[in-house]
Amino acid sequence: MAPLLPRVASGDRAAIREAIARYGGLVWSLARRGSSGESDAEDAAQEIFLDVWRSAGRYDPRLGSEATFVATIARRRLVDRRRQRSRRPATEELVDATPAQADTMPPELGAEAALAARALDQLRPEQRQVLILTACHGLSHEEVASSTGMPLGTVKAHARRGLLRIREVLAEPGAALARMEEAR
Amino acid sequence: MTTGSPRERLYELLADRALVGLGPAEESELEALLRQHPGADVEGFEEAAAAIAIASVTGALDPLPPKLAAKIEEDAGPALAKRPPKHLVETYVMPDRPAAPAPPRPLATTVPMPDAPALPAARQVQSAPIHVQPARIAQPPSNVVPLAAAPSRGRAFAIAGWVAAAACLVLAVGAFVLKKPTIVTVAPPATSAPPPVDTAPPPPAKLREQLLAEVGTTRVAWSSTKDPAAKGASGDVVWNAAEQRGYMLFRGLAKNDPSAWQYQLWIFDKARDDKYPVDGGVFDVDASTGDVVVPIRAKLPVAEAALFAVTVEKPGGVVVSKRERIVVTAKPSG
Repeated sequence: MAPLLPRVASGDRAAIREAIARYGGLVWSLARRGSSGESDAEDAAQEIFLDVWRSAGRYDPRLGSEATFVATIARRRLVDRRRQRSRRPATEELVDATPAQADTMPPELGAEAALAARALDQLRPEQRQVLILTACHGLSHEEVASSTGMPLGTVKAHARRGLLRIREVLAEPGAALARMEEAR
Repeated sequence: MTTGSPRERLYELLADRALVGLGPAEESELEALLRQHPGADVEGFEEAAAAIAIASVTGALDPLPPKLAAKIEEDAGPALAKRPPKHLVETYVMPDRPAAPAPPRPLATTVPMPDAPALPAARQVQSAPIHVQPARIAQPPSNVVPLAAAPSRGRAFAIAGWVAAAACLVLAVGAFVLKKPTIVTVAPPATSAPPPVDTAPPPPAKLREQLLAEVGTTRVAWSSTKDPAAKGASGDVVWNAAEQRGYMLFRGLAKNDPSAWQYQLWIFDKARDDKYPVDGGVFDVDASTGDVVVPIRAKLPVAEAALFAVTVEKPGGVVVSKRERIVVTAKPSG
């Protein structure tokens, strides 16, 4: 799948529309899970895309997938916003507020998701749970400790070791090759 | 938590930054550590967290609302026009991220890739300009109920509520008659190219029978509720605490549309807080006739199972159930 961000960086309006269509579902899904309400999620999604547009010129397909590039920017923005808030996100209520209507998974996201899912499968269940609660649902370490009954130190250790392992798996030759294929 | 060596502390801070962010003091500490370890893989942790995030939304992407998409497209023009010249972007320092030296990607130097271009040294998102804008105060819509402040996450999820719900059940068929099962495979999904018969893994029903024969395995019949999905449903749950393994057998449980809703198992553990039962996995029922055997996939070790409960949840399951639709429960004796 041809990368869109270099075209976006040159101001190509059609590429902007395509990028919104390709990554809108990803950004919106992450924004909804990491925000405190529908309005907050809309603000977050707009800010994320602004960051994507401003950073588009830096995207290099040889360094990683476009989806990971966008998701990294999205997560950064959501973490920053979360730290600016004093209250935690109401994830379940928000997600349930609107009936789920699954969007089509773009092929690029599917490939990236498969890599990450394979990496997650290699973790211990506790590590996997801690990472999903923090990286996907936006819970703090303290909230994970409270909700799972694990000691705080154990939660932090699981998060760190799990993330290290995911990083190792994603850096393996097979994963890199898959990205290269995708970038062509 | 501060660990022993500076490198371990560096990894700890990088992981924390990727997952939950850092405060000003920790950012300063990270900057100092990065100066001591210029080759550290600064970006890898954030990319790993991003990959997990992508995986988490697989199959359940929420479509971007058209109005929001239009607004985003409208904002793109001015944003692109305001981009700083490239030579200035290189020197931009993010307000809350250390301007760390871009390290070489280990793969580029350690793994030869004949048909692929060599990976450049720098990662790309690290130095991307992130402009933090003041967040507007979000007003949740009227149909959104804010959560109570942590740690009282979501609604009380006490076992008493589940037992009370179970007490309201239309009791399942009193005598649980185990007929010769007509097996319907539910999970794991079948592969497109099944291996030869002699090497194929036993089906869940066979594994369940084997587990039943083992010492320490308990079997408890399901009690169905008045939920429409459970009408006429029966079956049992078998669980072996020593092996941390178990299977659910259902007969007559309604077929679900995985794109609309899924079943999710919860295991109450006597060793844990009753508010937070262990997630036993999300599953589908693809036939309303015949027997369905589903392996239990507990996300955490279960010391002593006090109650098994199956709920109806959104696709992909939830972290904390609102227990709005409890389908079946099974309470081990003792």
